[in-house]
Amino acid sequence: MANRGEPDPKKSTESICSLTKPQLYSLYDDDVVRSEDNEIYEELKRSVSIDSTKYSRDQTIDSTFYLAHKVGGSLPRNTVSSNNLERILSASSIHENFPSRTRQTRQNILHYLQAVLILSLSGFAYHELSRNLHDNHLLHPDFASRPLLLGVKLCNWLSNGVLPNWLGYGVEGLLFGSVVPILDNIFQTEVVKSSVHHDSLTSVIRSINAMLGVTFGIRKIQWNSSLQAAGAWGLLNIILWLFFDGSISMLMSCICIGVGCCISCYKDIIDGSQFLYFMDFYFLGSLMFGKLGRYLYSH
Amino acid sequence: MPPLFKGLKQMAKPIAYVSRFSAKRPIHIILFSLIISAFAYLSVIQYYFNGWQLDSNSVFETAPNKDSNTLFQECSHYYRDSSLDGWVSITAHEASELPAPHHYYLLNLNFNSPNETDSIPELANTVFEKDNTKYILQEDLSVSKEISSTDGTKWRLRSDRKSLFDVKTLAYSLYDVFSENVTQADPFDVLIMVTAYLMMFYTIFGLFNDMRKTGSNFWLSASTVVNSASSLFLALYVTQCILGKEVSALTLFEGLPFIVVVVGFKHKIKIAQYALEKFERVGLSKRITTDEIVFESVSEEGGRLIQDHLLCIFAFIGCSMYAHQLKTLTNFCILSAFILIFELILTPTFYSAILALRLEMNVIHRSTIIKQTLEEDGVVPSTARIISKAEKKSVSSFLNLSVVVIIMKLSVILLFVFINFYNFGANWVNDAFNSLYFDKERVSLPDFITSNASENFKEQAIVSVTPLLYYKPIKSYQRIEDMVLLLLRNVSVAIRDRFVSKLVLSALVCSAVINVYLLNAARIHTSYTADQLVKTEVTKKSFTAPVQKASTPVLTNKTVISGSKVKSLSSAQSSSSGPSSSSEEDDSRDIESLDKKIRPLEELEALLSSGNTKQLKNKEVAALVIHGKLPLYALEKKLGDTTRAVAVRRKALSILAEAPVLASDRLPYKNYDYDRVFGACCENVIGYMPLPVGVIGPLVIDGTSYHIPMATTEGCLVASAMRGCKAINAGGGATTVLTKDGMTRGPVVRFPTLKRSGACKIWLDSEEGQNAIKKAFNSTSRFARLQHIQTCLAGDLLFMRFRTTTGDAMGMNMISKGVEYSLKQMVEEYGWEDMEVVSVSGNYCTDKKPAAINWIEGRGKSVVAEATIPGDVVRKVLKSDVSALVELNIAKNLVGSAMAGSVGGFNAHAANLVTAVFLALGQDPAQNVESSNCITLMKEVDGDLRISVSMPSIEVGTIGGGTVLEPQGAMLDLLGVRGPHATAPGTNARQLARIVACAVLAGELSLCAALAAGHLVQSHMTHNRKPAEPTKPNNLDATDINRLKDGSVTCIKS
Repeated sequence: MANRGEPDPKKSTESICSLTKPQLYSLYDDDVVRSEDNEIYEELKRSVSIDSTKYSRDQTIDSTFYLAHKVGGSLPRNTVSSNNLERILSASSIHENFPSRTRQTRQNILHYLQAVLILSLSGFAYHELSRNLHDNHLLHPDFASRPLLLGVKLCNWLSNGVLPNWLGYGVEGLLFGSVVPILDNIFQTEVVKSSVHHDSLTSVIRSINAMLGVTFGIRKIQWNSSLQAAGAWGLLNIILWLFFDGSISMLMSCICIGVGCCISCYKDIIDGSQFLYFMDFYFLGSLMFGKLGRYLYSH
Repeated sequence: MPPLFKGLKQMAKPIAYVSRFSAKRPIHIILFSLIISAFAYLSVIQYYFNGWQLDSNSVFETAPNKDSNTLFQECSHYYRDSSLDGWVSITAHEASELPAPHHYYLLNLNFNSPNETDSIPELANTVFEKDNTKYILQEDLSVSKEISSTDGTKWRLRSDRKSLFDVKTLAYSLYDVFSENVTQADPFDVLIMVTAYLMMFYTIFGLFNDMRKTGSNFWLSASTVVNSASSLFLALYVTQCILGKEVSALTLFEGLPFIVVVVGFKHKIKIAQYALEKFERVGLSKRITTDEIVFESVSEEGGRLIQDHLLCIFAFIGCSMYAHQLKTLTNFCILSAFILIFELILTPTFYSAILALRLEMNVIHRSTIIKQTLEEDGVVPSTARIISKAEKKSVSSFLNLSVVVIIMKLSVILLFVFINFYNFGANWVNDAFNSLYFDKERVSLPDFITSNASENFKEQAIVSVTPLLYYKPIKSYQRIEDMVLLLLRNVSVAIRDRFVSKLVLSALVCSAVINVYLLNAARIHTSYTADQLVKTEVTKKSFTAPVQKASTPVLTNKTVISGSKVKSLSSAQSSSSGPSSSSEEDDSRDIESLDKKIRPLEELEALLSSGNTKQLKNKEVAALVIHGKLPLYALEKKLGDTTRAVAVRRKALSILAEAPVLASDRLPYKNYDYDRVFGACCENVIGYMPLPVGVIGPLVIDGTSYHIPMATTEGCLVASAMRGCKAINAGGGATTVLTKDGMTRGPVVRFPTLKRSGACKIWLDSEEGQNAIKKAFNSTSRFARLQHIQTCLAGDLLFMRFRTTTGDAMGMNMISKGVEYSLKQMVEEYGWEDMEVVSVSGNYCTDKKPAAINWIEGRGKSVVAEATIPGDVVRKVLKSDVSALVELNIAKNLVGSAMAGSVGGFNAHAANLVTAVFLALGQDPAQNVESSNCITLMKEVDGDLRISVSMPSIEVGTIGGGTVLEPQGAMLDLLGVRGPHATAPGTNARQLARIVACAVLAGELSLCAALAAGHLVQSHMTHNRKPAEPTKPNNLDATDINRLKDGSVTCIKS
């Protein structure tokens, strides 16, 4: 205010002396009108991970109501009317957007525990499946489960016999399920980034379904020879990989696991078809576990 | 997973073109596919169940000859003659052929009743009786359907064949077969099958669930299933009936779930999602049509569709070739490959057609809502119609109203198909039952015949023993069942009648032809006019054309050219079509104005009175106006062309008001859609005022980024708000809560005595009064729901403040209508006859005037927006300091405003942002008075700045008012909140209020930061110290410091 008394016309701003420039100009530095071009978009991406190219109308509709929906659980989003406005508003709070750090960690831990549990159960189920896989020739029941048994023996040996057998199968399932996500994490392949969207529950179910379907086919169809069945399966595996995933990391890990299993039980193999069976079963198994693992760890 | 090859996208093009073709002709395609699929279905079922034949006789089962014939076949026949000792069993054929002198029929009747008291009827010719069983010997085979006993009980012959409960029996038999198979199979196989079926059901459930998320509750999902089922039947038809590769029902049962799950429905879901999202996003912009949406979505998602299907087809064909010795597997693989091929064919045809129909329905639904809302909001129906029609026409290329008719027709056709299917199905059930339960065992002759044989049958004789026929007392449900069966039978008989069937067939053909005709008519129509508005423009042109022809022959060419231009333009973009046509017209009239000749006034008057104003030249109309023969306001109606009316008005006014500026082009008036203005936005229109529009953003509001348009002539405002956005985004965006949503209107009434006024106030405040008024008020509108009435007394004057929801409209008109009606009801119904309504608006609302009631009670939307700005962002982006900002906010926005006695003015420049946004978005700019009520609060939290704006009375709407104008509507589209919300009315307007609050937040943050920066500079100067590094604006030199200093002074002064 003190300056008002002694205005210096020379130093005065354009907005005051000529009244041509709005007064807001006088308040800001020159930077304010400088075009920032894409800077703001980059910052936006950095600060909030929003895919600005994809505009989701759902999100824009009414975030408070959406939050309320999430909190309330059973409240249908579309039936919001003015009458339950207050209720909804009271249910929502700003803090929903920023869950505290401890809560997040707790959620993460729960999340991982859940993943571990499901993978172990799947490991157990996978073992049962391998025990029941047989055809009408050389593939006897229990034959395909030999590498798994070997793994369990290894577990037993490592834990000095403390670990019960069933837990061994669980651990195997966990390992199978974790290999692909870990590889993904290490290599950070592009495919992985994009496939995150695709590894939905449906895709997992489809791969499990494919596994069951193949097992059913091998068991039921009266094959001419084991080699025929194993060969058909092998060819189908390649297509299934293309169909479900198509990523190199998945292919590599599936092949590695398949070959590894073959090598581990080479003593038992007396025929080429059995080798192929091992390869097929563990290839498709790893594909299934890979998808399951990706789904569980990314959701 | 991304497509494997880039080329797949290109491969999707053909199927995208096919789907566009189908989307343009949905009825043809749907009808065609359904007929083909129905044919395939019938053939397949016929193949699987040979017992059923396409035999028209099968429906005449009740015919007597047929009945006794069947019964004869079912009888056990015994023959004896003198040469033989005892009875010999013979076949039915032999029985009918053998020339025996005596042919007896032994009816074996059983009367079984759960009710013991029912007496068994006495029958003639009873030869033997035991418990409930009677044997009757007759010479002819006739069985009466109903027998009454002495006590009036009616016994009905229960031939189970004609019962709806057969289905139950059939189910039981199927269950038996199923359980037998299950027990025989390996438990592990059963487990696999159960899992596979569970997964299949999950997939189907997932389909419905996902489709529901896209906004289609049932129809799209159902048609997806129909699509897949059609592929299955077509594939079965091709493999079994054409290729002769047999696939047993068991194989199908075992293999199908795996195919369903692996193939899934995800492509169709994705196509639907893409199309519906696209419709939501650009549904209101002008250029896109449904077939284009379908085309785009299929070309987007088609790559994956083709890839997956081709992979599977390849796998199946490969498998069938590899294992060609295994017949079952090969055949199933061939079938699967065909299923996928048909899926690939049907998806761009049948499914796309369904999708297109669905989109058309959405378009109609939306435009209806728009029209209703606009009409409720007081926009005159004609304008509402123009707007909603433009919305409708913009998206749909054809069909429009006829879509409803077509859907009706389609459902009739479907019903027809269904009845056929039902008939067929019912017959199949019967026959299946017959074949399953036809008692093949021969009924042996009862003892009483064999033992007494020698006495009774000395000669040659044949005895036909019927199977046990059950009689049961008639129950009421059986009567209903009989009626239902009779009805069904009649319908089926009627349909199969040789005349009726032809009639139905010809009706079907007629319906198809009419559909085709309607579609063609619609297409011809749309090829000329993409939009109803344009159509009217074109007709106007045809009206004016003769005049122009008469005036200058050269002009004719131009008119023709301009006409064709309009056509091409209109088909391209209807928003610009109206204006562009008028501009062309004006050009032509400019030339026309060179022609100085004006007909004499009397002649013009005669033309005017005869209603031929449209044929006059602009100059002549202007002359009429100048001479007071035609009022200015009536120009639009008389000329029937709003743009022309504006041009004439300018001409007339330039002379009448001696304002030559109106004759110039300085105030623009061309290229504007005045049809939307007329009756809705402005009267006596002489042009439009262009305003520069800037944009701020992206601004993250509740996790979504927005670009907010601002129309302003104050420089630096947009730039400063932009800086605010940047700072807010850096802190993770703004969060908003909406605490209240209710527009208000405050009428004032008067009573003869204070007592009466007081009584009325107490009644209104009571629950009874509130409810009574609510009932009356709510009956006036679909959207307005009265929330509360606040009352206040001043002498004998009673003020009421009605607060109501108004959907997505700002709602002043809507609420006024409700208030008027409520007051009328109070006088007429609720016993306040002495109430005198002084004014419907008693300033207790308070609309467009500063008032504490809006600040305290809220009006429109009450929103609080908040953001946390990290300390270093405050320093780097805002070039200020957190504590300085907090201090400035207290001094300026809180203390300063309090000292000034402000009401709701506890902010730096909320009105700046509110008004700029209002102008850009077609809101009522006068409502910035209360909409700018805002208190800005800032505090320091862990070194960060937390800023909030609380705005209790933001009055916005996304429909009606200025939002009906195209540019304003386009800006609402930019925010994604244009028009009424499809499912939850009011959501768009509430979202807009949040956006306004966040724009204010950005503006407040930026200006306060600039002021605080100025303050910082000052304080550093007074202490003669160098400014601290982080707080110092970049490269401050002496002039900058002075500039900041002066600026802050100026601002504080303001």
